[in-house]
Amino acid sequence: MIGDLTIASGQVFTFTVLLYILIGVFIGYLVGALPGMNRATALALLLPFTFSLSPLVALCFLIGVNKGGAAGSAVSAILINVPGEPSSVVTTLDGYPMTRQGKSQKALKIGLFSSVAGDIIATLVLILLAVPLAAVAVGIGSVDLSAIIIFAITFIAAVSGDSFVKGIISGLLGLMLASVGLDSETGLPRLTFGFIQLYDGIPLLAIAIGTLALSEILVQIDRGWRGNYHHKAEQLKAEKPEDKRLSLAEFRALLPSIFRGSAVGTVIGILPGLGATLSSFLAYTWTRKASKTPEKFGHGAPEGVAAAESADNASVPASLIPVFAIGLPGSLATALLMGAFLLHGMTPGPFLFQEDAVLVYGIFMGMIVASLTLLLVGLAGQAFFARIILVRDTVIMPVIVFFCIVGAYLDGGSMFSVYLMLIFGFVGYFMKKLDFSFVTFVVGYILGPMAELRLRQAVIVTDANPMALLNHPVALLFLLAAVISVWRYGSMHMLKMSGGRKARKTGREE
Amino acid sequence: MRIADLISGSVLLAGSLLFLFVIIPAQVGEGKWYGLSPFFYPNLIAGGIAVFSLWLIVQAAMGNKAYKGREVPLSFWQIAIFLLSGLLILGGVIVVEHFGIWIGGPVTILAVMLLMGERRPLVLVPTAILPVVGIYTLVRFVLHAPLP
Repeated sequence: MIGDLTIASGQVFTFTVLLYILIGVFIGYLVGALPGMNRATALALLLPFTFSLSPLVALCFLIGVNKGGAAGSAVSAILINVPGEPSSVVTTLDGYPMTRQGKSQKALKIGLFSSVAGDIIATLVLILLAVPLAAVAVGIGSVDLSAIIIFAITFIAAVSGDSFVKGIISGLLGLMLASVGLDSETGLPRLTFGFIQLYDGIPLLAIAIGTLALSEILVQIDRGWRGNYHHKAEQLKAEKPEDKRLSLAEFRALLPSIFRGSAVGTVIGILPGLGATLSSFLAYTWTRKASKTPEKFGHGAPEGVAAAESADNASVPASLIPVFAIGLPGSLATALLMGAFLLHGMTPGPFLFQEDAVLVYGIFMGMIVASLTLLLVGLAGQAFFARIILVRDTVIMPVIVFFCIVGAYLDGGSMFSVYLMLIFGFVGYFMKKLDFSFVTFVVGYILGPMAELRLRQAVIVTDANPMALLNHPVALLFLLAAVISVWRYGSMHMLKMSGGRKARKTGREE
Repeated sequence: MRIADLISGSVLLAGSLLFLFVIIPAQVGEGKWYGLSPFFYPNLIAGGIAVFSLWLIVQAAMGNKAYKGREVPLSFWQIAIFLLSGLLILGGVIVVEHFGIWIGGPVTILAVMLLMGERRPLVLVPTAILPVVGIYTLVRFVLHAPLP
């Protein structure tokens, strides 16, 4: 391990890798700060630009984008009360009141320091946990892994949108799209409709750019026609010198909130589908309950910003733990990062530690460097990011449409991918409008090949006999958890839809 | 939303049945296999989509009260804007395909900017040109990849 670490550090601490991490964090921060844009969109758009890079440089760059995006989303939340990402909604609760009190620079600094602290803590947890978990995961067989995949998709469907049924349908659609191409066992073409371009399957980037980036632009265009495309800045109060700084004593007072947020973000981040939004809400609620002055929350409490931002950023590296340990993505951004691994010829999961330990340790070191770069970019670019968020959508969105076209073209170098991307953009628009979870859709697509392979192996191993599951307690446990998810979230929704059991009973009595 | 759920559930149910009985049997190549059939996995998934689509239809049919007050997801006006923006972007892609990104890029950016209501020439012109120059430089001279 020490030898691998030494080689990895030699590869990471080079001008090229450090430069790409810096560029990645900067772009991520910029995209995170822009309202309406998010890091998943940025990852989808930037993936094709990494094809010519080495795997280590490409992944460090994309991880930088991911981390920068999570931290940058606080900027617009604090300054204009518009969260750059859904997970920064909680930051607006106290961040924006601080801005209105003339403490915007202090709030931005609290957001940045908390983000970096949460990020570093969770990255260290990732490094400590991923290796032992992967060692355990090597022993997981096909039957158990199939059950874990079924559970993951069911659980993500249950928690990622308003409707459980629509979430499941989205996941199944993703799995179905992944079956297009040559059958992995027989080599027979499947669902290719005569297109040779589809023999390798539907390109990941056509799906990712279409459903994440283009569909979002179509939604924004529609929203803009009904409102306007300009984010107005509040008339800010003049800031006193002491309100611009964050003293050491003030930072020390925030440490309990930061640790609380980091702990919540790390734990929630590991679980599939729950993600940053829930963790920042939970951390905020916990910090408010633990506070001696809970009445200040919602009116500009610095602890509120610290808890929300540390939890938000801690969930980013934590969500990579299942990717490294068992090859399972739990969120949109991690699904895309897993896609990046696959596009660069690597399969994330426990065997990656055996096949290319140097690369894995290199990525871990790159993550730590990215965390520190976050601090640098955030501090140096504070004034720049505060201005850039006021650029109108009428300028940003059309340029992103162009990036979508170029990005899709770069995947395969043909217009076929661009037209596919357009189709998925249009489909994604309707999915968003009709509340079909595109998170489950993309996760389903990324997991599709592994799901099929493991399921087929499981059917062969068990001889298609359900009773054979009794010999696989882990699989049984996860299948039971999946059934409970279906029962709990499905029936809950049915009851909600039908007005609730109580309402029905009352109706019968009447 | 209720009507939208009923329609989307019905479309998905019809689509999944079409896949199960027509498309999958017709779109899997002929050949021999010794393990599991290549039809197994797509059939399983299409069956799952059919079951859950039916669930969605039943849910929407039952949930008259729960849907009250929920916003209609797509109005006529929204569909019109979607079609207009979709057609403009499709037009842009066709121009890119036939005339390359030096013409297609600025045309697409300009079309979307105008659609979004941007009218200031000093913003329109540089926004349409600079990203194309930047991307061309990056892709051709740094990444050494082809562009249309």
